[in-house]
Amino acid sequence: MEKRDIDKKLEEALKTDFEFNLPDNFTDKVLVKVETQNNLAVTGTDRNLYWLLFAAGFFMFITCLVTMLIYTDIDVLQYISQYGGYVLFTIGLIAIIQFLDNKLVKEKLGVSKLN
Amino acid sequence: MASRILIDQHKRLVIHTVARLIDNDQDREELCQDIFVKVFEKLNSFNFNSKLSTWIVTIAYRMSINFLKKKKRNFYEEDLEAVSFEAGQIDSKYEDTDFARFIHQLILQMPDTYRSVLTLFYLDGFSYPEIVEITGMPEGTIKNYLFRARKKLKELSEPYLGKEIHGFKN
Repeated sequence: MEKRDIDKKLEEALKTDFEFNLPDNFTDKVLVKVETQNNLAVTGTDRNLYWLLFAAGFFMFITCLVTMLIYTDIDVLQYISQYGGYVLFTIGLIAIIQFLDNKLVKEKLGVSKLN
Repeated sequence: MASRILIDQHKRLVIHTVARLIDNDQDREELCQDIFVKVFEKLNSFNFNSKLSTWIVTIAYRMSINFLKKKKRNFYEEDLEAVSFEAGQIDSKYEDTDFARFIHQLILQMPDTYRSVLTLFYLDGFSYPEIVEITGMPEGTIKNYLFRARKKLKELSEPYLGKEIHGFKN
């Protein structure tokens, strides 16, 4: 075989596609992954909004407390010492539910893994 | 719809880049998926300074190298002459597809840099400046790799091609 023919054969072989193919539903899988990630980005924005609302609520609570202490005769501190335990219990319960939801449900769905 | 077209049009290019560097089929598929997810994530930053295909393959190439690093498999840049190739056997009545398979097996034994450059140039049809952009290697190095790889493949395949012609003459 002449050198020129060897070159031609080699070039043809180099340009031949090799035997690895992705599954037929590859495109669908990618699109689902992209969609999931887009939803997570929205979830991230939601989370920021929650924190903002929490901060606003806390600020309003403190403002009300100070206002009541200064401008009214109601003994607010007595109420707090009386019902403070219930308030702390409720906050703790909500925090535990949120934590378990994040750990058990979202991780099972693979949400936090993608995050 | 546009996303689907983008994936379908560039799927082969991504497969070529990934499959030349990653051995495991499952890893290949997962990495191909992650590459397209990254492409969509970064699509807004594509500035049209290069072709979309070059930009996508650049992402694929870099993510493949990062994947190798994560798997503690270093990017293999050994000297081509240091590699001892196992040529295998070719039947005297082989067809062109067998010869192509034989060549692909030899390529897989080459260092990663050679594999990538050969694939980008011959299979994907990228130009030298595009391969420079994708791999970050100097143009002279790319030309040198192509020349040496081709020379080596020719050396290794010549005995088999001679055998085939001999077979035909008989």
